[in-house]
Amino acid sequence: MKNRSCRSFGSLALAALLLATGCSRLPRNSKTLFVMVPKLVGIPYFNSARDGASEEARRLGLHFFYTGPTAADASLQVDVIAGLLARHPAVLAVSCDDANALAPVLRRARRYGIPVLTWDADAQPDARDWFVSQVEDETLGRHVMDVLAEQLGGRGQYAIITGSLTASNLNAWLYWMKKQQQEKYPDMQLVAVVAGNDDQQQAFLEAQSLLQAYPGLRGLIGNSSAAPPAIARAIEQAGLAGTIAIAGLSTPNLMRHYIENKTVKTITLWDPGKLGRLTAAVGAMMLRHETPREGMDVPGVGQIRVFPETRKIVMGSPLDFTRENIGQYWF
Amino acid sequence: MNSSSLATVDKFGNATPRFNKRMMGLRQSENLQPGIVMLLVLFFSIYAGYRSGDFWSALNWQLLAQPLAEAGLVSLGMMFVIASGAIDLSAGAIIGVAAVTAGVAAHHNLPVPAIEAAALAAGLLCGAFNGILIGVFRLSSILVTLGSMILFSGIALAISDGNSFAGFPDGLLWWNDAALLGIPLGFLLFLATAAVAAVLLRYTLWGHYVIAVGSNRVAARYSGYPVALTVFGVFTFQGLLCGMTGILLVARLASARADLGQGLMLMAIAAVVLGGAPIAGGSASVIATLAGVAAFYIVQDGLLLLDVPPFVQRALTSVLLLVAVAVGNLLRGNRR
Repeated sequence: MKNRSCRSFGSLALAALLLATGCSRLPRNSKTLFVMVPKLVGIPYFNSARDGASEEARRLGLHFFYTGPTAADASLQVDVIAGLLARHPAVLAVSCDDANALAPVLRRARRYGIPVLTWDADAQPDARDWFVSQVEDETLGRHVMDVLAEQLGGRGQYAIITGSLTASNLNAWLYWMKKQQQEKYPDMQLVAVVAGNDDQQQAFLEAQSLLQAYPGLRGLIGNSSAAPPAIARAIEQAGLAGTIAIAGLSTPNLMRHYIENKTVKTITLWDPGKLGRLTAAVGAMMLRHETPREGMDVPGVGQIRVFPETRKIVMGSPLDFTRENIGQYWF
Repeated sequence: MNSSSLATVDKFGNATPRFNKRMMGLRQSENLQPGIVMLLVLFFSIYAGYRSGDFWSALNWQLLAQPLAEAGLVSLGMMFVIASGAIDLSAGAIIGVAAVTAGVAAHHNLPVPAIEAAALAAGLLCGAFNGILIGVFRLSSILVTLGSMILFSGIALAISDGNSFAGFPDGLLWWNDAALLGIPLGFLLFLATAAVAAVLLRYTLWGHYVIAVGSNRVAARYSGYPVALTVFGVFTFQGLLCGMTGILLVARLASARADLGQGLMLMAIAAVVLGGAPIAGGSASVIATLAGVAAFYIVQDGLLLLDVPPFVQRALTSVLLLVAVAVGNLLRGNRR
C-alpha cells in the first residue's frame, strides 16, 4: 500500500516536471491578437465561420485565436470571454448567445480599450463597436415565410419548430415569419410553435407529435439548423413526403440527403465562411482605425451594406439551397 | 483502521511511533483529498504562470473571482445537501426561478432591496418545497428534485415566456462592479457565507444533526433527532443560497433568463465530491468544498489562457476530478 502511493506521487511529480520543461512560454502577441468567440464550439456552422475567418486573418497579418463554450449557454460564454479579457486581445469578435447577458462583459472589454465586434448574433448596441450581420432579421424571417407560402399556394395550416425558446436571434426571425404570414398570407394558419432545443432527436419527436396532433397540417418550418433535417426525417417516415411542404434555416450538409431525394425543395441560410471572412476583415479595419463604408468591396465577400447610425454591417441577402446549387457548399 | 496506535506499532517497525501516528492521522483525515487537490492546482498554477504572462495578473484573478463566487455559493448549499445523504438536481432551476423573479420585480420598478428580497424569497420557497417533500413526506431526494427541476424551470420559462429580462436598476448591477481593495464584493459575500456555513456545520446542533442524518438516517430517527426538520432546513438553506447566486448572476449578466443556472448544478456536485466528501453523505468540510470549486475555476481559466481547445479543456478538467478522487482513495487505502 505504501509503495503504491509512493509510485503515484512519483508519477505525478514526473508528469509535472515534463509539462514544465517540455513546453515553451507562449508569446504575448496582444497587439495583433484577433479573438473570435462563437456561441458554441464544435458544430460545422461555426467551424466553417472559423475557417473563413482564420484564412482572412492570416492573410491580413493578424494572430487568430478561436475559442468558446462547449454548450450554447450565455453564462458559460460570459465566463469564457471574461477569461479572455486577461489576455488583452487587440480585437474581440463574439457571436452572442443572448443580447442582454453578454452586454456587461463586452462593455467591460470596451472599458479596457478593446474594440468589440459582434458577429452572427448581436448584443445590446451600446455594448459593441460594430455588428457584422449575415442578413437582416426582417429580410430573413419574411423570406423563409415566402418560401413556405409559395409551396403552399398561400393556404393551409403550418407549424414551426424552433431551437430554444430563449435564443434572441431565433425569436427575432420567428417574429418576422409570423408577421409576414399575418400581413401577406391571411389564409395560412399557424397551429403551433414548439422547441426542438437545437437537438435533432428532440426536434424529430416534436415533428412526429405535430404530424399526429394536426392531420390537416400542410407545412412545417424549422427555425434552427437542427430542426429541418429532423422534420424531413419525420415526414419521410410517416410516408408524407411530397404532401407536406418544408421550409426553414439549416445547413447544406444536414439537408443534402433530403434535398437530393426531393423531400425538401428549398432550404435557406447564408454562407458562414463568408461571414467569418468579413468579420476578420472588419477586425483588421478596427486595428487600422478605419471605418467601414457603404458599398465597400471586401475580398471574398463582395459588396457590403453599412448602417453607420446603428453601427451595423450587413453581408448580403439570404442564400437558398436547392438541388441545383447545393453541391457547391460544404458546411 | 480503527486504532491508529495499534497500526503504528504493527505495520511500520522502524519509524518513530509519533511520526507514524501523524501519517495515519493524515491518511484517514478528511483533509487528505482537498490537500491533494490544492497541491495539484498549485502545480498547475505555477506551470500556467510560467507559460502565460497573463495568468498571475490581478485582472485575471478579479475576473475569475466572480463566477467562482456564484458557483461557490451553490456548492456550499450542495455540501449540506450531500452531507445529509441527499442530492439536489434542481439547484440550477431554482437559480433560474430566482433570477426571473428578480426580473419581474425590476420590471415593476420595485426598489433594489425589494428585488433582492423577492429573488431570495423565490429561492427559499423552491428549497422549502423540496424540503417538505423530502423531509416530511420522506420521498427520495433524487426523484423529488428531478421532478422539481423540471417544474421550476417550467415555471421560470412560463414567467419569462422564454425571453431574457433586461433593464435592471443600477443599484442591483452595483454588485458586479463593486469591489473592496480590488476584491469583487460578490466574492467577499461568498467568503462570508462560507464562514457562516462553517459555523453552522461545526458549532450548531443543526450541523450535528445534518451529519448524523447523512451517516445513518434510521439511527438518527431512533436517536430522537428531528430528521424531517433537519432535511427541511438543508433544502431551504440550499434554496436561499441559490437565490443569492441568482442575484449575483443577474447583476453580472445585467439580465435574467430561465436557464441562467443550468451549468451550475453539476458543477456544484462535482466541486463537493472533488473536495473529498463522500457522495453517500455523513461528512462535510467547508474548506474542502472551497478547494473543490476553486480548483475547477482556476484550472479552466488557466487552460483557456494556455490556448487549450475547449473540448480538451473539458476533458482535462474532468481528469483533475478523476485523479484527485483516485489518489485520495488509494492513499486512504479505501479499496472497497
